[in-house]
Amino acid sequence: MSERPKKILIIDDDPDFVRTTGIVLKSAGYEVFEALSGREGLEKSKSDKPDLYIIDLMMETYSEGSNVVRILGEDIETKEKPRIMITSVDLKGPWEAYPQDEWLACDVLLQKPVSPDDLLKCVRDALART
Amino acid sequence: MTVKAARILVIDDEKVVRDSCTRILSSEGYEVRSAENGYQGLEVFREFHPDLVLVDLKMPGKSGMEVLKDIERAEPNVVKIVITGYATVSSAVDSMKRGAYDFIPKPYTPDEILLIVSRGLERRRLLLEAEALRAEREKTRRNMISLVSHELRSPLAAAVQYLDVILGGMAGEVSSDAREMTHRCNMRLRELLDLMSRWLSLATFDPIRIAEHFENIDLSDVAGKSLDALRSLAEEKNVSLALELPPGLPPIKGSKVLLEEIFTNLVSNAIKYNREGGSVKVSFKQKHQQVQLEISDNGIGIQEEHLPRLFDEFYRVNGRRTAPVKGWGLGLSIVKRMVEAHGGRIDVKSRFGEGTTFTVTFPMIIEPQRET
Repeated sequence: MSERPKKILIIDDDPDFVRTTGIVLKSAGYEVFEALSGREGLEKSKSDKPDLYIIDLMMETYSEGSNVVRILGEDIETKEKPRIMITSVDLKGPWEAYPQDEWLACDVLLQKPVSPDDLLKCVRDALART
Repeated sequence: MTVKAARILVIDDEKVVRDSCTRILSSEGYEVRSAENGYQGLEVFREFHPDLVLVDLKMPGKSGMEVLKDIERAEPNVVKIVITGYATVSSAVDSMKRGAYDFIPKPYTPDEILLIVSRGLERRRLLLEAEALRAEREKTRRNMISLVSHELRSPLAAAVQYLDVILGGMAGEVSSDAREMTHRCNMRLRELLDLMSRWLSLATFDPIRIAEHFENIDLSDVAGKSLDALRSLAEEKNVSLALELPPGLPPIKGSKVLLEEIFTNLVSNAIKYNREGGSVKVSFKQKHQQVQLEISDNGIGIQEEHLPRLFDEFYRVNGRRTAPVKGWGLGLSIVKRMVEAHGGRIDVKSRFGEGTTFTVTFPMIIEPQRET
């Protein structure tokens, strides 16, 4: 039985991160879509209908990623799709400086750099839950 | 641009004192207001925002001492000068202990008053400067935290992910030399990320906020868990681990995460700075109103001259390059802060070549007395 490859949309304003993450995901057989801003991400979400999202927490503004995640979580079309958030902020660091309550709208929060193994495991686990 | 005239508030129940002070000080260009008792004085204080306050100690109603205390609490940077008769010099000294900067004995000459006031205003200038410096330093610290936690980490994280992709064979064939070098590159960058992370936990450490989330902790749980996590490191170094737990060890108030970090840090040091076939012993004691933890090893020990600076930030016993064990010299300073956040103390005893013992004492939970 051949299943169609799962589609993953990466939303991050750091092109290097988008590129390396894309390579890792493609190497595992996923179909990868890329967006370099929150707005582009929401457009591609409509046109490409991904099965899973990987979203950077802080893009142009501190709250851009968490806004995208919230919108996806409220939309009937996308709210069941797993959302992995990712940030380069040190997770042991000064959390009070950043928004907190919106994080609940995602499945996992990962800290960059994410090793290929960790990333793939996280994606597999999240897809298995749907 | 004109320099704003210094504001002076005179609080004295004697009209003649208020009038003479106002006359002398106004003639020097100061802006002066006065009040005839403590309550009125504090009212004027709140809306006038003086740089300096002259307070008579002996007033009916609210005493000068109380006024001093209130002003010191509200705005410690306002300079307070006490006016007093010769007979009460001892109470003037007393008031200086409570935040007064100087005193003017009665009777006084205009020159005396101007001299003391101008010295007081110089003091005020220094206090304000120090406060501005503190605020500036705090701002710098916050900027640095945000810089390290995000802006410095991002490019490093991006670079590490490229190296991961290359090492994962996802960017085509690489020679074994190139592969080995890429691996080294990756390790060095991860070291830097680790350093930044340690610096951040030190810079953002806030004992007051941590104490808000304290709960009752069974230290034997914490010790067991931390030791389990370190067994493989101990086996690798061929070091034996022993845990001595007396029955009925009382719980302490604390943060589980921090206590685990304290344990893991101290025990992993004891393993790393040990000798082949050495041992590490972790033991607990209940002593007076304290729970005492001892972590001792029979490892390489620490030379006496290093002991006083052992808990300093970025201090490394063996210097940076020659050390057999990698580290940043931040571990123990973080541990010390965490212990102190628990109201505890950490001490170290060591003999070079024989071993080291760290002693950590935590206060026991004392149940509040029930009121009858």
